[in-house]
Amino acid sequence: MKYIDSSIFIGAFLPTDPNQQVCRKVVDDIISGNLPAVISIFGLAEIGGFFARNISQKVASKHVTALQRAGNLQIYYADNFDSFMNSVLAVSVSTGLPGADSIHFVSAISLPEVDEIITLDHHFKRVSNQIRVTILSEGSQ
Amino acid sequence: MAQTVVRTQPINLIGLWRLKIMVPETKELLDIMDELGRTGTVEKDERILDTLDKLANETMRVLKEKGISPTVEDFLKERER
Repeated sequence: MKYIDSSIFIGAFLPTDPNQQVCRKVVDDIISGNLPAVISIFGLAEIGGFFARNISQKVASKHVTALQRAGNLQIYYADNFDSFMNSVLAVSVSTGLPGADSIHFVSAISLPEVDEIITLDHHFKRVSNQIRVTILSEGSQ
Repeated sequence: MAQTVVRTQPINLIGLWRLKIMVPETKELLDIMDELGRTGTVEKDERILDTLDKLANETMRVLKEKGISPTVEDFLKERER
């Protein structure tokens, strides 16, 4: 199973982004059931916030609810928030990952089924010795 | 000794709704969370690709109205801050 960073969905949903096609292909593969995938509830918050700031609250809500209703996308919630956030803190201090990226990384490695993070964010190179990291760019697929 | 840890139940969605922090445009979000809370499942959109295509058109229309072209790079810069 692949952990999909919010940057991929934002890329797929922004018609003006140079990576839109490569990101949309990932999203289409997820929806068609060809790419088992998970995102954290925090990732949905990032997507919703970015679209509410830049497009509109209505479009933001529609994008987030579309993902919630997508058949083949799992949404990860941490069971124990204290333990989860302690790990996020430890990862940030140990690797230099920005806090938000650490939330995604800890989410990904908390799920035994996840073997790869797919993202557009180059910060994740910092943990590529821990989990496979694929950084997409136009022409990479 | 000074207290250094504070614990409380987080505010829930109904609380956010009552405080008007959640705006009417996000009502479907509240409904989905309610559905998830009650049943543990959510009704799936069988025509999600069509929904995403329509959303792309709606997004493009708003971007043209605003005259802006945000990208993932903008998002990543915000996230790093």
